[in-house]
Amino acid sequence: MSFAILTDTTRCTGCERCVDACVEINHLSSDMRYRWREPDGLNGARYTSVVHEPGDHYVRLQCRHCLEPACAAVCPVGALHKTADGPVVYDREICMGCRYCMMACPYEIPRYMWEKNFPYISKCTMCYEAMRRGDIDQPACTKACPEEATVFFTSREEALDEARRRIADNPGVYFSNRIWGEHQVGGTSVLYLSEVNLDDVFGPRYGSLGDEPYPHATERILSTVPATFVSACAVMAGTYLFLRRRDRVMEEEGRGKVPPSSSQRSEPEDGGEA
Amino acid sequence: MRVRVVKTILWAVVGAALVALAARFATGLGATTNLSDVTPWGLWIGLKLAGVAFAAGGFTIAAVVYIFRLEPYHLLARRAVLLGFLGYTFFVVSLIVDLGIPWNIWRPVVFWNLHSPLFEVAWCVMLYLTVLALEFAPVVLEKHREQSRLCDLCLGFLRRVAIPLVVFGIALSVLHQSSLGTLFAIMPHRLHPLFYTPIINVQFFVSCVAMGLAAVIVESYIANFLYRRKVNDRQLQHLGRFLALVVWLFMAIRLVDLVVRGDVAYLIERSWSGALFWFEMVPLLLVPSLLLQWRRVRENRTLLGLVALAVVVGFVLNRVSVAGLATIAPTGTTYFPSALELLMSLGLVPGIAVLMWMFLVEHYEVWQPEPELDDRDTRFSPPERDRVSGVFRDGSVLGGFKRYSLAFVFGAAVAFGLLPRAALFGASAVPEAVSRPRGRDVLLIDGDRAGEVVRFPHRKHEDKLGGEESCRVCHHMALPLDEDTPCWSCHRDMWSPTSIFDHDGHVRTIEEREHRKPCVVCHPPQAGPRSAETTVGCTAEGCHRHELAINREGSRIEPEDPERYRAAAGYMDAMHNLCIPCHKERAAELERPHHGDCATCHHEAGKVQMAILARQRQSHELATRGGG
Repeated sequence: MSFAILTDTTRCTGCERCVDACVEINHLSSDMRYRWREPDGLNGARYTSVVHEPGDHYVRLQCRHCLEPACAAVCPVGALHKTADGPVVYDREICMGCRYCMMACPYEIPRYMWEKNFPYISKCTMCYEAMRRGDIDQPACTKACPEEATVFFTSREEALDEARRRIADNPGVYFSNRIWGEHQVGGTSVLYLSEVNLDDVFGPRYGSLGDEPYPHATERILSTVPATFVSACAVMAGTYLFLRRRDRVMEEEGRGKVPPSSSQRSEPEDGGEA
Repeated sequence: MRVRVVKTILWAVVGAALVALAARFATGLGATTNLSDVTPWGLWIGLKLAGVAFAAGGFTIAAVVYIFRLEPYHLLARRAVLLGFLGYTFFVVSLIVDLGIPWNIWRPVVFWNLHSPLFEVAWCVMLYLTVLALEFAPVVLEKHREQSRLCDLCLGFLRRVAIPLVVFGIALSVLHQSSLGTLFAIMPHRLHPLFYTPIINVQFFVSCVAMGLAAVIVESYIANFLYRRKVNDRQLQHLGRFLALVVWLFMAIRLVDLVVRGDVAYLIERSWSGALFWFEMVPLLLVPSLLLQWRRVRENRTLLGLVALAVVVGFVLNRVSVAGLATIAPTGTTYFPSALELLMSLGLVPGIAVLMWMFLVEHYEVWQPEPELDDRDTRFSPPERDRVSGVFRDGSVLGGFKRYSLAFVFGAAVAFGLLPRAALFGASAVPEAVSRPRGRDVLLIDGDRAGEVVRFPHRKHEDKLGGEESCRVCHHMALPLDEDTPCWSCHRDMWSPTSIFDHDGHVRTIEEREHRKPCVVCHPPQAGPRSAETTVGCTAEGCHRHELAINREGSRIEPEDPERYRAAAGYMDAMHNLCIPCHKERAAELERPHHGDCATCHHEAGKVQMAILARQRQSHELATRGGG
């Protein structure tokens, strides 16, 4: 079972009650000012925002809670991790502030509390803590939505079924009848239905995101690390032993060319031979 | 003397940079740098990566000397290891500066995430820095072996494990240098296709070898410049040939990779990233490697040094591009490091690294054997080395210590004087003055002058709330001798509370009208030091205790905190807290559920109105100008 949120931008009226509810439940400070306000509305004090697209289309942004999240894969200390229930949560007690998650996230969701002296990452956690405690049965944002534009499901399959049902019920409404997040970057827990092309709204900067989970790119390389290490050690040690043997044989037999400076050889050689 | 001039400059730079560093820890990254959510890494990481690549000479030369047993290069070994050690120290120190929560830098030791390239980097750096320290330690221990038996023992042990250390160090470097490239394998959306490749780790490894070799060559020339030591021409010429080979290999890998991925078209793209690519590839890599093929260039000292320097600059640019420039360009934002950022990344760490290099070179036998004096260059006299102690003499009258500490203090003072406001007091909100509304019956409110107005039907509100009697519902106070002070004269700041307390006015009033000693009225002696925090209440038991009561009668405004009587809420808060609660109440009465929503007041019509207003003002100005 994996929690999911289905956001239908055709229903969103841009009232931003989800944002208010999010601010309230997460005890976020007042909006960041000036320099650190980004056009998409997310920042160190906002986990979710509503982007106003031309033609009165409203798109709510939040963490997609990828099935294979890049942020969790790259965090060197595991401060971000994917829970069994689906949400990707953040443990600020472990974070060391390297900001790699911000660079790696394909949707550029993690933001930084730049105003703080010693800042943390800020990011939507699908209200996972409060839900696990049993305070609420669904995230504050979905609960606050008056138009059912963003809906919470306890299972991603249900969310996908609902999305497909809406597409079937409203032919010609949704952009290329596509569910954003169904397969993109290996699938996300937050799904989007929209009447506009969302790739233009939160698309990547170069190329398209593709369906391959992001962490695979680095894991391909990292999986070769042990082999590389062992073979580098072996090749270097082997070369060393071989060349040392060669030099010795040459010296003993007293023929061939003995390296000119072998008598002045300094400490490391002696140490190696000892 | 060149050494002293260079040291003086470096000490001044380090002094200035330490001030920048203090500001960074006192007020945070946000206040002192130009980093933001779209450019969270800025250019720092690129310089750091370049520092690590600079250190690659350490393992390359170690491999050449100890593994491949090429004796002629033995005299470069210690120098290369020192470069490696300084490069990595540079990396770790700048990492501490850059991390948001620097005291958590040890966390990767305990908290493991095997899927993270940065985790691998962290471990490799820790281990390799230790290896480098152990590899270099004999140079320091050698000198003190006669004084201490412990040194002698350590030295013996280190010599025993020297070869395993070298092998371990090489393997770590191979992993580490390439995994710095792996960091970027996960961000195809950020990195320009000319720089992104799934095998970026291979590119990083090959280029670091070239950079390391070039760094060793450059170091020789710096030693020549500063200490007039002879350059080991023959070895460096050979290194130059090898360097050219590695640069060719790097360029070949890069181009073949572009062809295989089918991104050749980007080569002719007229863009910032394309220009970066070409600038790096042609003048900084292709031309030097072509020149290196030419025997006469290799044999000419100046040219060889310049060519090696070009390669170093080329690969520094490569790292900075991958980590910074090529990821910033597509964000559509501008980013340029702040002065403090530049000072910290270009001043502090390299400054300290160079000073450390000079110290070690002068006090220990890093150059082994000591290169002879360069007879060809007699323009200056180098510092003289004491035969007995093996230390360079500094025979100046104005002793080194005085001169350098003076430079240090001077640098620090200049930097402190030029510190921007934010670096001293933190990233506070910049006050934003508000403007008064315009219009007659319908007020056009555009507090922050952003060009979007809220249309406020003043007359309509007045009528609905009960005529003239209703003024006090919204207008709670007036300035002395004034009847209807407009909101914006007290709520002067758009965002943050505004101080409205007129200190001099109070002093005058108390003195002249009440003939009392003004200070103690508000600052009683027992309250401690006189400051805004220690004044006695103005409203609760103070002089203004009646005023508020009068003003509050029938008013919608409730002062949240009587003790904060000296401050007025920010303009936006004042307006919102005044309008929204009332609107929400009315929403139920009027059965208009959205009456309290943002869009009731903030709607598209506001923009249109503003445009009309601007046009009117323009024509008005034209008319008056014409009339005048």
